[in-house]
Amino acid sequence: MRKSIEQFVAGEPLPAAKINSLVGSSEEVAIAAAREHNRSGLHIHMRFEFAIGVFVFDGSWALEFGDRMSLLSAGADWIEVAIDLSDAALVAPTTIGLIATTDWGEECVYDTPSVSGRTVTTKIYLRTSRRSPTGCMVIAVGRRRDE
Amino acid sequence: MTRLLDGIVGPNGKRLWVVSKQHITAQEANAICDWTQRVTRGLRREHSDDEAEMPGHHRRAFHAIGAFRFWMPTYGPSATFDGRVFSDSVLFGVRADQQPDLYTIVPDRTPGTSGRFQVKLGIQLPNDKYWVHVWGTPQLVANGYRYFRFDPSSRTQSSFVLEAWGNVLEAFRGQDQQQVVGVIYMETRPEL
Repeated sequence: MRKSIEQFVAGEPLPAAKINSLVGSSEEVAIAAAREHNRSGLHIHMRFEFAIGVFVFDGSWALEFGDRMSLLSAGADWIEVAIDLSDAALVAPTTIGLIATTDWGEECVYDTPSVSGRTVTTKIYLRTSRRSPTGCMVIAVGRRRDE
Repeated sequence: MTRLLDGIVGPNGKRLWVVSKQHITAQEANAICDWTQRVTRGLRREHSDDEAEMPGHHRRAFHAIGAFRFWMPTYGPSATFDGRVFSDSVLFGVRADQQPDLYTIVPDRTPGTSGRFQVKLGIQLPNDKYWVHVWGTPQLVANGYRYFRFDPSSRTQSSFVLEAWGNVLEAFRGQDQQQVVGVIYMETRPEL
């Protein structure tokens, strides 16, 4: 991509060539950005991950931080999570999966995700071969529509 | 079909070329300002625009902020190996061969704590809300397997504790060494 470092001098006429250089650069930025992003800035192609939630147990399970994921309910050895699809719907209800691991590094099993409108819900089972887990990281992978 | 982010355009949606010797008016200047605002607004949804945070850096938590390839320490009566972090490990875009103390493994050799070691960070993290996952597990070791535990309560902005465990002594003591990669996940996006 061409580098456009234009400087205008106060009190002097604004040369058309410099303005046009900016216009041309903006076009190049638009083309470059469009390879990976839609016009609102969201990634357009299938990303390996599109949502995450880190859940920590401190007397009860809570979402510590995340993106497009929230906690609906929890029990002793399970959490039910919601995944937000408001910015891009799934291509099909089956184009989503989860990678969920406890702090012990073991993967968790989960129910088949249920899609309702712009939300996906599923229950994740935090069973380990060791002591009870105190943390769980959940990553959602999937293919979403280009909107 | 994806619609492109528009470049500098006029009211008719077409590129606002200026003819030589034509006067530049507020229309051209405003179109440039408008484009800058649209680009900033669009790219900020998924990327940093802060010079200090590295412009273009993905803010989402599922884009890892760091990864370290390592061998765990060994434990037991005659163990002396303190572990090793490989030089291609990264944290916030800095490589371990650029900053040798980027990741430092400190084994906990307290009797009865085989497998536990602290990982010290050479760059302080913005806060202690992060997650470390060691990919490539379970590892197969002699007659068994090995996992790595990341204890969330051990987190600070400059260190955390990992613990190797498994179903045989070799898993805890670090025999049958295999390289693994620990990945740090952290949300670096401010409230939008």
